[in-house]
Amino acid sequence: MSKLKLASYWAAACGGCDVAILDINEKIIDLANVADIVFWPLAVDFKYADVEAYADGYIDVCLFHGAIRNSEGEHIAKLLRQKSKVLVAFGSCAIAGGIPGLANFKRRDDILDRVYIQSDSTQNPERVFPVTRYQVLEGELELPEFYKEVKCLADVVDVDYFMPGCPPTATQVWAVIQVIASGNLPPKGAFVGCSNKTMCDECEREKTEKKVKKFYRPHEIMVDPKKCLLEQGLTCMGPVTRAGCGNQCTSANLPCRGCYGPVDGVIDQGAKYISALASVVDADTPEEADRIISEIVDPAGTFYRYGLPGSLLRRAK
Amino acid sequence: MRRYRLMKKVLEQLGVEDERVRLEWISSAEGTKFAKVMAEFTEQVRQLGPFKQDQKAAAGGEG
Amino acid sequence: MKRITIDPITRLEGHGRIEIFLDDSGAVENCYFQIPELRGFEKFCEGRPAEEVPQIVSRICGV
Ligand code: SF4
Ligand code: SF4
Repeated sequence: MSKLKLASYWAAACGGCDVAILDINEKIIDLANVADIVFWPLAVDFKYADVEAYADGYIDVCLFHGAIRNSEGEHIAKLLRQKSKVLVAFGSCAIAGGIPGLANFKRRDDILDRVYIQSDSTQNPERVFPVTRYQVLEGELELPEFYKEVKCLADVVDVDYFMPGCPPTATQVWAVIQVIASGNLPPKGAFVGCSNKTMCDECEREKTEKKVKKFYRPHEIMVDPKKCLLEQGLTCMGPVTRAGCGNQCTSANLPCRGCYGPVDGVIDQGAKYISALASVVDADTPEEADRIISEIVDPAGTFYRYGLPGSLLRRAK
Repeated sequence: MRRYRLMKKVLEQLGVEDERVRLEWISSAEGTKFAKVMAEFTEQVRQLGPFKQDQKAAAGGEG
Repeated sequence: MKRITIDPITRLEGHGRIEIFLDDSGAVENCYFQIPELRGFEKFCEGRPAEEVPQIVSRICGV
């Protein structure tokens, strides 16, 4: 069998997904034995022009990280879709917007104003903002258009597989690469490199009865390292989050923030968590319920930490 | 009830007006009440107009 | 005037493009470095609880 042609690209991402691929460590040599890298801005020097020159379907597998934030992201997503047989939405940003998706809580113009006018390190009395076309003496320069809202990869192109995580863990990355190399591909649309159980199912903390009289912020409480965090009053999103990360946050005494997204069949992770969280509120009167609920800080920003663009509302009004 | 309260809090942060969401308990025997509440609520939402994202400020600093 | 475009610049975190303009003798006349990416952490961290910010801003750069 000829070697796989592999591409990896980032749109609005942090590069953590690319590093997750490198985190397979010495197995990268094994990867090089089964695959040729044909595009990977983090690691090798291929240009967009090289990708454009490839025949359609030339790339066997493209791992696409990052959300679609601007017209360049959308353009490259379409280009890579055309050139790739299999396109994987790799990581929370590509699947549901991820951390960059928090921008959908804000308006486009307010973001630009904060960055180019108000930021402490900026002096911009002429109020210069990036423009898509700019005439300089020597010719015309172009910049992509900054979209009104962050989109998910599947909003702009057809996606074959989804690999969740912020970032996906190296063990999962390696497992998925092996599956790809073996050619035994799962059915289209599948979530790979994860399980379909919830975080709670795989969590080893002691669980008794989930009844919460008071929600805490981490600095207000000494966390018991053995007991369920939610039962201790921390807003752990384990009940509505897909397992697969190896319980990374909870084993460090941090509540899960839901980066692996919801399990199959759940459309809106945040809405599901509203339901789950409300059901543990242990109140005898409506007033008490109000008090307990009011202790939850930034509920929308927490429940939609990694997935606002992929949620039902997609963005704040 | 608790779900509703928490959901309202989240929707507020997402910029969905309070008047767009309403919870009422109506039994199957209360036809007139049902009709009244529905008419009232429909009118209320009609007054608000279509749910347009990106028109109003997105919950500003609180978002 | 000849134009050389380096797009994208590689082996670093983020997005960048370099436009180089050469004069008739082939010497560099001018050169522009462009960053076609913005995510807006400055803005969307506003409203998030302080204790959550370390986990959010660690996604500025994961390299
Ligand atoms: S809520 Fe969090 S801490 Fe509790 S069992 Fe689930 S994952 Fe573990
Ligand atoms: S515990 Fe939750 S937030 Fe943390 S890595 Fe796992 S899925 Fe992501």
